[in-house]
Amino acid sequence: MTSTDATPVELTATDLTVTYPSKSGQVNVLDKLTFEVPAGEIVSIVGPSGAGKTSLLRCLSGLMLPSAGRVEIDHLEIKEPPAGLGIVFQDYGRSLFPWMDVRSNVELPLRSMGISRNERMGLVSSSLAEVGLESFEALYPWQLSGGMQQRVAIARALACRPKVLMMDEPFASVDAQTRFDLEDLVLKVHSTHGMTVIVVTHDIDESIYLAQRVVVLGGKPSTVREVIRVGLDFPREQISTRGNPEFGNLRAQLFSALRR
Amino acid sequence: MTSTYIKKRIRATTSFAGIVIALLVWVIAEDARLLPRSEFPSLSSTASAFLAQFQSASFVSALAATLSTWAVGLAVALAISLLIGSFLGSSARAFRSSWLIVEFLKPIPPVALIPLALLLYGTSFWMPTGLIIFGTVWPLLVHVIAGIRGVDPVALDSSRAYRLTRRHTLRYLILPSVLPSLMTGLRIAGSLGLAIAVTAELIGGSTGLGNFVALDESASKYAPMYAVIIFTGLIGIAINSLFKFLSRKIVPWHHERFGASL
Repeated sequence: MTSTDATPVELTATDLTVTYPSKSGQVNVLDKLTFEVPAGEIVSIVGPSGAGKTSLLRCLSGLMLPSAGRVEIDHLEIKEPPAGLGIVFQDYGRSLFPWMDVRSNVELPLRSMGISRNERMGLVSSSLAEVGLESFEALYPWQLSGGMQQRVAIARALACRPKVLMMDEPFASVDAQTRFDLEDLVLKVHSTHGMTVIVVTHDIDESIYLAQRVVVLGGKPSTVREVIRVGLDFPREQISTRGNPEFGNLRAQLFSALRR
Repeated sequence: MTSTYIKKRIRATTSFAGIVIALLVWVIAEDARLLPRSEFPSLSSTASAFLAQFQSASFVSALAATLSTWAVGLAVALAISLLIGSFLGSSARAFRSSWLIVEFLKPIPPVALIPLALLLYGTSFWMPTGLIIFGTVWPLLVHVIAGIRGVDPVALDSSRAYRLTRRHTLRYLILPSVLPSLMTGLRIAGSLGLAIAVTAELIGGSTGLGNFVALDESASKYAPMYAVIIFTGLIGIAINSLFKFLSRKIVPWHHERFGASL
């Protein structure tokens, strides 16, 4: 952890419930989810498509209020996106602004935070260097590949020196090789800065590879099926970590929790 | 590079081919005496009348009158639709409670309001200008509302999650999201505004190119009349190209990303 990094935060969800109005009355999507994300850990939330994962992340980030229950960051209930939040969406093409170049996209949140120009320059440059895009800062997002755009989104989050980094299916729209690279980038970023990281994914292997703890969602409406500790050592490596027998055991455990 | 350049040249040439064919048809019809010579002047006499117009002070002042009504009318309509549109676009309730009124007013042709406008403003500057405002405010309003309602929800989530200030959200998210749609609206309103200006002058009798056509027609001066009509068409093309050009300058990402041929 470097000196400019913010202290990571602990996050808890208590009886988190989300219902949507529909033609046939209320549809319950998330039912009384309770789990905790310890400060500085990487926690992945895994569940099948339609399990309300995006609604969950929107509640955790304060973009949406739950129908019942609460989300707390360091024991303070959040009602709107908190300061110190970094966020990465699945749809990079829509979350970055196409009318701004890479540098301006990364810089904009810092401007709103009222950070001085000099400090901004430093933060933007170091964040772009961290994701390996220092020579692409003058290009526009749509001139980059999907994986590179997602790197810009990660750089934008990093520049804010977040206390918590939330990612919603961040690598679901990139090819397999790029996906592995980005997973390793997330692990590297976490070991450098030590922030709390929450990754929502439908990919069982990815949820294990990235996290120290996996929250398994399942059922209709979704409930927390199980919270599984991942004891695999850091630093992790795509081939040896995935080849570890423990990885296979965890995968089996997760799979049966999802199937149940 | 070279092949796309050649393709572009060929495309530019083909768009002129239509004009050449139309002019040829005119000359052939004239030679074959297919059209009565009195109402349909020859190409050469129309062309010389066209050039002669630029010598005439009254033509130049009519042109200035038409263009200034057009510009003022369009500017006022733009201001009104930005004001009302940003309100209606950002509140679903306001939108629902107003769309019926908008849909009712939209199809009323401005021409139908010429008697009313004459009653209010006589043949003054505000007669055609008022009609232009009334006629062009609808396409502009619809495009402003569509632009605001079309702001990407994911982009909006990003701006909220990163706690962008209100000013930054407006300047760097809402405004750039609305611009492509607004530019389309302006292009439609621009051509429409010119048509309304000329119609109001032609029927209502205020100063301008339309009035010029009416006066030439009543004096049976057909060659100058057609010359003015052709000139009006050329202004239409110029206005369209102007907004096309502005659109490429103002919203380049829109054209790059979607290859939109706005």
